[in-house]
Amino acid sequence: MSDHSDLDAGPELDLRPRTEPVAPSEAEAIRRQLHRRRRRWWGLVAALTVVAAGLIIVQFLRSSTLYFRNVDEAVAQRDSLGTRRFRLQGRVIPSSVETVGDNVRFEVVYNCKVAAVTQTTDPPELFDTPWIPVVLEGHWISENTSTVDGPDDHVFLSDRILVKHTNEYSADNGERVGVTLPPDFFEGCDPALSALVDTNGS
Amino acid sequence: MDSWGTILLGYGITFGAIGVYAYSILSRSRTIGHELGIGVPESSARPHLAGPGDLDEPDSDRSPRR
Amino acid sequence: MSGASDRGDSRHLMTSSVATRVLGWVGLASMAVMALLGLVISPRDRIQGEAVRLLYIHVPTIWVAYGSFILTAVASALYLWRGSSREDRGRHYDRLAGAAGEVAVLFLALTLVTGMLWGRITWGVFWQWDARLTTTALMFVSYLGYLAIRNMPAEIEARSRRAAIAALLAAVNIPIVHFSVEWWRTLHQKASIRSDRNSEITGDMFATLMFSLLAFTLVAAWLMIHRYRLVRLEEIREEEGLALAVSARRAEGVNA
Repeated sequence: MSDHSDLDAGPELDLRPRTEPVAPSEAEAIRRQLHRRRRRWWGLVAALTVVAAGLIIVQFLRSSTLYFRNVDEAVAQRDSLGTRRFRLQGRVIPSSVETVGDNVRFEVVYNCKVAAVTQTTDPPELFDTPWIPVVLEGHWISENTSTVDGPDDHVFLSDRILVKHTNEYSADNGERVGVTLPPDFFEGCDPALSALVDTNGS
Repeated sequence: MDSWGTILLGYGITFGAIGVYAYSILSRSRTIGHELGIGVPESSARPHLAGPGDLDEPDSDRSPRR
Repeated sequence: MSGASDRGDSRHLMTSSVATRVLGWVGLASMAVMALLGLVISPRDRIQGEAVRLLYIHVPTIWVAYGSFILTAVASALYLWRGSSREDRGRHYDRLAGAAGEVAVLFLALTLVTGMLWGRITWGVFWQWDARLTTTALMFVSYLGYLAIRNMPAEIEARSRRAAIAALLAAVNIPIVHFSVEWWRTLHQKASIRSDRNSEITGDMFATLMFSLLAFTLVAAWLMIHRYRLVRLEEIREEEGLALAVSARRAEGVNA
């Protein structure tokens, strides 16, 4: 090709209209190229979320289909539970709390059943609130004891205590009072248990 | 336990995150607006914020509104 | 705004207008008042003490997140149902869904963070895999997935359709999260504000919570409007970027 033909070809190319429609396949190829890196990155994010969702579901099925047993259920299932670890839910009887060496001993009550607890770790601050509901992690051990409900041969040995704070809120007026017990909390219980309500705020 | 420290941390994270998000939206909008030659007409932008150097304004991150 | 009227279309493309600037300043001011109410003026709680102050950010953030996720779901449904018959091919619904979804993820993240801090000082732990916390974590992750799908480059209508379907799938979890405290035994307490019985929160605390809800809603609305406009700018840039790349490629092809 001579120089002249090159010069001739130049302006001709420039005159091609910029708005000329691009073949769909060509536009698509360029789009793909532009998007490939971004797509790989976001694909990774999407895959990670699927994995995370799976892990969360597994974690849920393993630990919280039955998040806790109430005191009455845990007492009824003592034989089948053996020394298996589970979570126990009940309200702390204010008059029962005492420190024994490094441990805290107290009793929890729910549905008219009482369980003695030996707590080996420090409870959170709100534990001091009378009648606060707690969730304890641990297992039954055989030990003779006596509770407000009479003698018992099992104690719940707990190494983790969570305060299950309630959804009642009211302004602090300086008085030290407990959480409000549901009006039917001791309904149908032994009179010895119902009488405990008088110790509210001890 | 110092609950005040935790409470202030919670408020700080909340306000901080909202502020950072608001700022990121505005600055991305401005960047794209400049690229495309739209988005920051003289009426809405204060004159000193209209240029590309506006991100260096010391107070630009404290005032998310433009 | 008067000076911009001659610029016609560009007025709608920039991310602030008189209305949104007023909204922004009002939102900012109400957040300042909210902080004052929540941290200083509202009383200590009888049982929880100062820790109750985290309620005023924890609860409003999840309400805003719920509301925004519902908006995402509704906009996504409208996109799938009516999008193709509309003049803008449903772009409006798609942008709305995306903007609301992103804002919702931010507020849900804040719900999780403030909840963990609150849990630490009341329960004694940051986290427990109980039903409420687990379903909330799942909701967070599923909407991260939604945002990932939105951001995965693809032809714009395919991307919008994919994202809309994902949003509807993720929305299934919203009622599960909300009612988890009723359906399962959880460490988390039940809802603070309930319609079926007297609210368990009253007086100054209730007023603070309501004001805080208003403040967070204003801020979320401002964020969403600006995010929507940014989505639109991003779409325009993508189109222009593609056009530029096509012409650059053509020039390359010619020179080669």
